Amino acid sequence: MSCCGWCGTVVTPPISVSRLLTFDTHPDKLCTLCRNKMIVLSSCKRCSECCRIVQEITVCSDCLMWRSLYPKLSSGHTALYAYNERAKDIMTAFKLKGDCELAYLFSDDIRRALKIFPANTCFVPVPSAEESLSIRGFNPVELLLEAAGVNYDKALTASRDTGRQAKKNRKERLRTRQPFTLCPKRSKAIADKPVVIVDDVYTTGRTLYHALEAISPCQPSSLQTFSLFR
Amino acid sequence: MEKWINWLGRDQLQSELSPDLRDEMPSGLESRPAFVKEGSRYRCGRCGSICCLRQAYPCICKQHCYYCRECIQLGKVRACDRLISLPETGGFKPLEQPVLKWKGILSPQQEEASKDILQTVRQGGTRIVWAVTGAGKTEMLFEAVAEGLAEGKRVCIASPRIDVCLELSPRLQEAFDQVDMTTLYGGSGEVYRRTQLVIATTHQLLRFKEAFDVMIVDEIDAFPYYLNEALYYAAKKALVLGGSQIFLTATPDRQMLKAIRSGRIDATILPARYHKHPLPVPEARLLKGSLGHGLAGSCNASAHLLRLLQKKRRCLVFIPTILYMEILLPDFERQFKDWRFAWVHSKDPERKEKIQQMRQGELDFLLTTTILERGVTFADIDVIVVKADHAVYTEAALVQIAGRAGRSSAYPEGEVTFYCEHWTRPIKRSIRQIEAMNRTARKRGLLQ
Ligand SMILES: [Zn+2]
Ligand SMILES: [Zn+2]
Ligand SMILES: [Zn+2]
Ligand SMILES: [Zn+2]
Repeated sequence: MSCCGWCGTVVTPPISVSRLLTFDTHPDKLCTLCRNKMIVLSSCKRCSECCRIVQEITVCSDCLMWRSLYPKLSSGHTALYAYNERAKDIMTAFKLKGDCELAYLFSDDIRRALKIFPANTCFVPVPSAEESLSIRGFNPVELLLEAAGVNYDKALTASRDTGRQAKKNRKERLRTRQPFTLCPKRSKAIADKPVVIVDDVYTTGRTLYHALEAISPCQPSSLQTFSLFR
Repeated sequence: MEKWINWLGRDQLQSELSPDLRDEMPSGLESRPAFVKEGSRYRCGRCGSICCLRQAYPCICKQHCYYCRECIQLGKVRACDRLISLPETGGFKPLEQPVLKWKGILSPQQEEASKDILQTVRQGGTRIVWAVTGAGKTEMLFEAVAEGLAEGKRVCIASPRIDVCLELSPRLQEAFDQVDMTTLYGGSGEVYRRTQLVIATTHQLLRFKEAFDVMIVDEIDAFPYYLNEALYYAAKKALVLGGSQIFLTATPDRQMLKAIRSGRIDATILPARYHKHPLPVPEARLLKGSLGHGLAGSCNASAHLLRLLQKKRRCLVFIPTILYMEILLPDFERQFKDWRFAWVHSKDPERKEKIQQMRQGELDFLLTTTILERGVTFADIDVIVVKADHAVYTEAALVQIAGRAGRSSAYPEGEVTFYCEHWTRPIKRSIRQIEAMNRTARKRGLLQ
């Protein structure tokens, strides 16, 4: 017997050899009903740049703005699911309540999605602000990557306290100043390699573009971004 | 000490203490580790569950710590934290007689039960009150609660279900109008305040330690039995040593039945309804073919429903899961387009409105998942259970569902039909349990 990792409904998962071999009985996968509540972005009409759901497949207005602001940085974003009500509930339980084990809900999805990048890719998690780190005790992005079994590079550090993103409205978010600095020790390791910056949720793009800007001086061979939700 | 008066009998995390409390720690404060090691396992000190995380996670203490998932809704218990409690000292405002303002009349079997409960409140210990659906449980608690309160005891009435708490709260405030009382449940938004009488969800009991002299838990069977251990733990932790526990149920689980039959636990059984008519006994009808492939095709249940509707009967139709409901709904919409009906499930935001419509007779029938299995009552309805052999229908659930019929004294009869493909143990046992209760009631002369 196994339970849905979100709603607790008892589900009988298809018996797979790998599950039996690893004795993996932890309740971490979503039941059909919960899975149906998630919107898979790859099956939607979406912005070709940031995966936002749009009416016509083009580059969305936000991405055009980012392109004009950072002409050389724009490089493409991959997101897995729409940030709908269900996704918000899950992230609230994960980040605010601090239920770290929820990181495993999407471990398979994240592992599969990141496998598409070349083998020598450096995955750089967006760092947590000092304040939220001291309240939560963990960086949600790092937990997501660890749960997925993906090695990552902590090449960025949050240099200045910018306050919690979630408490800001859209305008305030877009106006925030660069909060990240490149960790000098790590910058050599990244040079000439493909880099993917990873965040949990893509809302305005502000955070990820700050991260892109901060990492670009070490000259990676390519620069992309990834988020679980958009 | 003044600042701490509200925290008598509470069980709090050290990390959650407000700075002004931390400044002035009173003597007698008990502090214990939040997690207790038991062999190779850890047990949460607040909710008593065994930690089953796959790993320790980065923590605010800069180390990696385990935390408790089971009670995280009340705030995260981390292994590095401590639990702080201050023993309850009593000293509530004296009450004027009569404490109980309720003036109703108890039926003879309620009278008996009321005496039993009073005895347990006086002596301490545990009593099970097994009362059939519609026996009138709340009224028989009044006398014992009144005496407890008059003696300055702290009393808690808890239930696993918020609905039950919200329904009890005004009735109790009316019955005990001079008693200071609070109702605690998740998301109530109220700041906690210490009162002599407390209505709470069983989940909220975890926030107490040795606080109550009398603990009454209603509908202990509301959740599947594997959650019961947590419920008993919470009730026991919130009770002072040697206090009195009263558990109310309409459908005791196996373990409890054994304890009752062997006399290991004091029990009071109320086999008859307040209106003195027997409980409707469900009829199980075996169907061939899967109901999952549409109700229209198998036609038995829907034909039955149609027959009842044409007789001007109103019905509750139980469907095992939301998924089933979604599959069956198009069939219902086609077949019953001339009838007024709605469907509700636990995540339905319009659930209250639909239930109200059904109550007022604006609907001919209501499709529902198990959320309406208890609590909600409609006068004069028939009950149909589609796929009664589904795993969601435990013995307790089926007894509760059957208990929806024939509730009002004006219409004490109702028809209960279980449609199933196989006979399951819960189906057999629930029918047997209802028949046994009717027999006992008849033998004791409690039926008209
Ligand atoms: Zn689920
Ligand atoms: Zn875009
Ligand atoms: Zn716990
Ligand atoms: Zn810790």
